[in-house]
Amino acid sequence: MEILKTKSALIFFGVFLFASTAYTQDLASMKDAFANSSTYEENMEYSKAIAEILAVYDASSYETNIRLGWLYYEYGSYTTSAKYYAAAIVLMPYSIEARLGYVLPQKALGNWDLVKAAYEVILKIDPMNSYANYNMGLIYYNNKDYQSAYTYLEKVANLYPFDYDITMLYAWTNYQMGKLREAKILFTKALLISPGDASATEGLSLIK
Amino acid sequence: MHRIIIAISIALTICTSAYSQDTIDFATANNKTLQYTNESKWDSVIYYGTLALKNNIDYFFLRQRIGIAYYSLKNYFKAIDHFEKALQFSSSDAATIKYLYYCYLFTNRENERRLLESGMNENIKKSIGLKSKKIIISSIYIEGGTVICDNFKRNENTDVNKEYKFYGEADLNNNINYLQAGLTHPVSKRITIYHGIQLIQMDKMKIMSAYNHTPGDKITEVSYDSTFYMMPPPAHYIYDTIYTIHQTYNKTNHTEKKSSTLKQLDYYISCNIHTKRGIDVVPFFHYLNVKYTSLFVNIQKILFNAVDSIILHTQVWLPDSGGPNIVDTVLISTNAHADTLYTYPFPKSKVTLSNFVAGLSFSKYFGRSKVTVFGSFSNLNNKKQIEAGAGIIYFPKGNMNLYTGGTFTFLYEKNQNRAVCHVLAGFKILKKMWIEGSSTLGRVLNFTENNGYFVYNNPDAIIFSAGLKPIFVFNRFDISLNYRYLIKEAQYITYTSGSDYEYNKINYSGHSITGGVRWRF
Repeated sequence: MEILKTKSALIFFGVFLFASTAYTQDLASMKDAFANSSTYEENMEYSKAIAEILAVYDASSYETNIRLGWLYYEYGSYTTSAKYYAAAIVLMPYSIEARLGYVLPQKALGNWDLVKAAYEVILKIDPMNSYANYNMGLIYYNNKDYQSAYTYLEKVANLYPFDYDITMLYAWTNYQMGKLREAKILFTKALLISPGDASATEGLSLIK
Repeated sequence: MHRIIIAISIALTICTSAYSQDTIDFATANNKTLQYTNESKWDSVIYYGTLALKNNIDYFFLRQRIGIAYYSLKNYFKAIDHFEKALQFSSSDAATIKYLYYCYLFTNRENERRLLESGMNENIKKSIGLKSKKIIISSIYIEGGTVICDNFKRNENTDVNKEYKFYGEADLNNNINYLQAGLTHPVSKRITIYHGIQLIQMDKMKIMSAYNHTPGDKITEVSYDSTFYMMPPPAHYIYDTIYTIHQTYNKTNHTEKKSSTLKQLDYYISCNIHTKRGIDVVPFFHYLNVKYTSLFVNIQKILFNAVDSIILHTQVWLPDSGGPNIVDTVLISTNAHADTLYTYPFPKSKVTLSNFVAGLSFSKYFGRSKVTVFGSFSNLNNKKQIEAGAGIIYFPKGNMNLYTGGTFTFLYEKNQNRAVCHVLAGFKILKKMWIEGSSTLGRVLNFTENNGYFVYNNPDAIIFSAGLKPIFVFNRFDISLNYRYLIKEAQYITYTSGSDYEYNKINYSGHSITGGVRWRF
């Protein structure tokens, strides 16, 4: 009986040692792969960077999926990029970074409905996310739906009152809605942020 | 050995290249479709785009480029498929919306066009030249015409009695004039209603010819009979003078021809519901009110004593027989034979028919075809009909420049089931002019088509028709003219005895000339 107990303990210890070693080896190879892919990425050798990550790819790994999403986006393979970002979202549903990443290839593919849907989910998780609010405002502005654009831009304008991009877009939205007094104030503020700015100057001239 | 190796290598190369032609990566598909779109090489755009789709590469710009390629090649049906898919990726893209709008316009897909227009923002509408005001009437349709027949000329003098000389009748229908007007109302972005009225006048002539039995001369035959009786005494003779009276009758022909005008007032309504799956569901109802005055036969039987007998019965006693010398005369009258005779008075009567047709149809576009299935129920001319059928229209070039198709309909009517086949083909001959030819085979009688819009309730069957229809399409209105040649079949009744009758067929032809204008708002 004692011999059996000893044998079981030895077997269990052996398996544990093996698993620990394997896990340590996995981490090490992952580290190396990520390091190498970063190097290749800096040199704009995207296919090699991708190959490094694919060698250690694990479908259940958020890190490899989101990394591949980015690398494929840089490589220009937008449909594949979107696929990996989508996989990352499934693994971490509350990840805003994965959703912001997902938006990049979808914009490049022209899939604006999917872009809007992604921003809407981000805003459900983080209602004051400035990037999502700004871009939703921009999408609606480009579709000439100024009322909807205003709803989003008003939020970010209050969060970042001295940001040039936000101030300019908010100013033009006010102008398009006929809120000329507010537009004038915003165009003037934009000129404080970026003196001599052509767009702000044009806006003011239109109001006059 | 070397030759075998070379042969295998060549075979492998072919297989590999064939495989590689079936595969494409995103970058190649994106670059090629963009490049060829910029160079307006539409066949190449379609080739690479289709290959990308086969390799599960699908995104907005790809669909848009393929759609533009098909649009540029005027294959609007194919372009529609890709633009619709593109809008699933990016529903507010102005350029795609405009392309799709024109595709719907050029392919007469009115329901899809209206639905797309309802979702457009003001800027897109303005750029296409659409007004955003709400309209109650989207179009008015007026049509009128005449059918010129030679039924009277051909069959007015038909001997409806033939050799039987009892009774016969023919109900001849001739020229038809009609006028109809209808309105289309957009109720919502997916529902439109069309309704209209129609006035029809038709020339009728009822020919009724009867051989009435009228009393003629009486013919009397005299015969004698005598009998001698010895016993019982006294002996006597009985002399009978038998008068047999035959009443003759004559058959007198009485023919009347009554001309009248049938007047029919119709009301038609249909509702087109464009569902989310792209199926057009159309319930329809057509009411017909028919009035005319005609003659009808009233067959009357007369019981008639054809033969009477009168017997003068005289008894004569022999002289010296010891009996009285009496001449005893008795008159005996018998009705030996009764006969049935017929008389046919023609009273006038007004006829009013209230008939209807109700039904449902479903249609959907599949690629370059439009498929329809339909069914209806009606009670035309006091009979019940159930119709069911299917139709298809195929646009081989993906646009309205050429189309062909047909419908096949089964009609169930007690003891008179039949099938009708309608075929058509149309093509564009000038910038704004189309010409459409069609033909109908089968017995068109108590028949409806085109979602119950056309109702053939004329008692005479159309056994063949063929026609040509030039159509002129302008921005705000369409004009159509329609010539149709018809061969019609009518029936007349001949009584072969006092109570038995047969139907006989007569043919005639007709020329239908109609014209219509649809004004769009």
